[in-house]
Amino acid sequence: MSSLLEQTRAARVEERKKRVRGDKISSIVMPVVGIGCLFAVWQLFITVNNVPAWQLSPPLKVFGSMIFDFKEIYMNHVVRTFLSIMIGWCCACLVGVTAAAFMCNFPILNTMLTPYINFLCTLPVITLVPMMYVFMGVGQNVIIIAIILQSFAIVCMNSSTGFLNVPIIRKEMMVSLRASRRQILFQCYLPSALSNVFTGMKLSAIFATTTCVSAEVNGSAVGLGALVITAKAYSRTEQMCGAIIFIAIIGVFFYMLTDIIEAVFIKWKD
Amino acid sequence: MENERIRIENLSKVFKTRRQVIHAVKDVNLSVGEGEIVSLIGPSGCGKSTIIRMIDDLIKPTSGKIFVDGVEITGYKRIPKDINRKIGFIFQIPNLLPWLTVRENVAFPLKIYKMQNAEFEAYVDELMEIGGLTEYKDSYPVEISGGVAQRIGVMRALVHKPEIVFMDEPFGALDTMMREQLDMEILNICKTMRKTVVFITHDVEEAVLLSDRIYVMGTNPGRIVKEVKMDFDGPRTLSLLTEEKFRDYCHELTGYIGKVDLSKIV
Repeated sequence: MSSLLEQTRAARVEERKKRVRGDKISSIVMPVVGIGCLFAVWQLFITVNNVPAWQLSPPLKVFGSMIFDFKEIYMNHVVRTFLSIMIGWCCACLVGVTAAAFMCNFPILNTMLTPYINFLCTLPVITLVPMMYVFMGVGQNVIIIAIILQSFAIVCMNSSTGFLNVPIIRKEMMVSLRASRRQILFQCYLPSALSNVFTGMKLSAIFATTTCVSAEVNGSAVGLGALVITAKAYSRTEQMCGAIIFIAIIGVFFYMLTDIIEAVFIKWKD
Repeated sequence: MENERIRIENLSKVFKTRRQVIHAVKDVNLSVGEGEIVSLIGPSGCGKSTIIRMIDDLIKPTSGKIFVDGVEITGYKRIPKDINRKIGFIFQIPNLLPWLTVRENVAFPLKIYKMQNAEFEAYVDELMEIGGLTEYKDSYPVEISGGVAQRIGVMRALVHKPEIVFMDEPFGALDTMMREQLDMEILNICKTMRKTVVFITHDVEEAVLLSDRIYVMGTNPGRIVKEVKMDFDGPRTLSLLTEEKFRDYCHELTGYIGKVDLSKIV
């Protein structure tokens, strides 16, 4: 009996390893192929239709600008956008998970705050940014606050779903062991909800990027959003495209960062 | 009864829903002595699980008294810590924490009870050995089979050296062969360690094989209809299944369960 179990287990582990290996290779190769196709179609479109560079720059010119003009044109904007997103997103994740933990532990707080969370999730915070610029003046702090407002609600909503979906029998085990409220939170609720927490963090990384760039487009002088507007004014389409690609890279960076953190924390995932 | 570990007096539990009032348990009286294995058997919905869940303070009784080692636990808002640590609970499903390895799952109660010392760490390894889990110690629950998972659930319930163990149909989801094997393993462990066991099952043969005494329960309302003492000569082994006395007990108990009016089950 035990050798049969052992064989079943070994087969499962081997199958899992194979699947993980295959997934890893395809997760690197396939996106590269996809992006390559996009640039090929872009280059082909420009060549075939003879599109002038001021209307749409060819990808090679864009890449050239991104590399050779990086220090002079892009660096300052990239650093500013990156820092705004990082600070705002980190604060949002921290506030979002903490708020969800409190809301799930105290039902009154949950009832009280749920309408605000729903409001912030459905409302594009960018609509509040002009008002915030009027109230607080133009600056990075407004952008960071906008990112926090938009992203924390997403983290909070997803984390709450995770906390509320902890299996009843798992909670009963904690009660049976007479665990304290703190132990129940850290030893049961948080690990159980971790998958949902990371889903919220990934979504919030996307929201943080879009909110940051939208806020920069709305009134900032520095940042990749502002660079897009400035480049448009001077018909520098290669700089516009370069800025857009940098925005995408930053967004994907935060998304993938969450993926890596998730893989470190959730080792047990099948 | 001498060395009485658990005593229940007139225990009742009523669940009220919008549509109806359900008497899950009504006026139940029972006692369990030290080192005894006592089973509660009966059809689904007769309140077997409700009784042990009330003793373990997972739900509050509507009325009645529960005494553990002479202490009335129904008088407290939460079961006292010292009483709680005398109890181990094995759930219907393994209820393992997927983020912990097999060894960490077995040792989990020690973390909650803050009992992580060298003595108990050695005891974890001993239990892993007894349960045949040593080879799986670094595996995660997702990588193991159902039978192994249930063994982990059993060992986890024993890791803090509880004197009283509640088992809520722990092997109900397993096939007959695996269940009989685990039944014998658990019987050996509990007898060797002199544990007091309250075992919940709807399988008459399993109850007869394991128990010193059996309470047969009826439904609507959940109540005890008969108490039967198992009197076998010699050690309990699987060969008991073929003995005439074993069959007689099974027939007798099935008869009592058969007298329960199943049409009244809610």
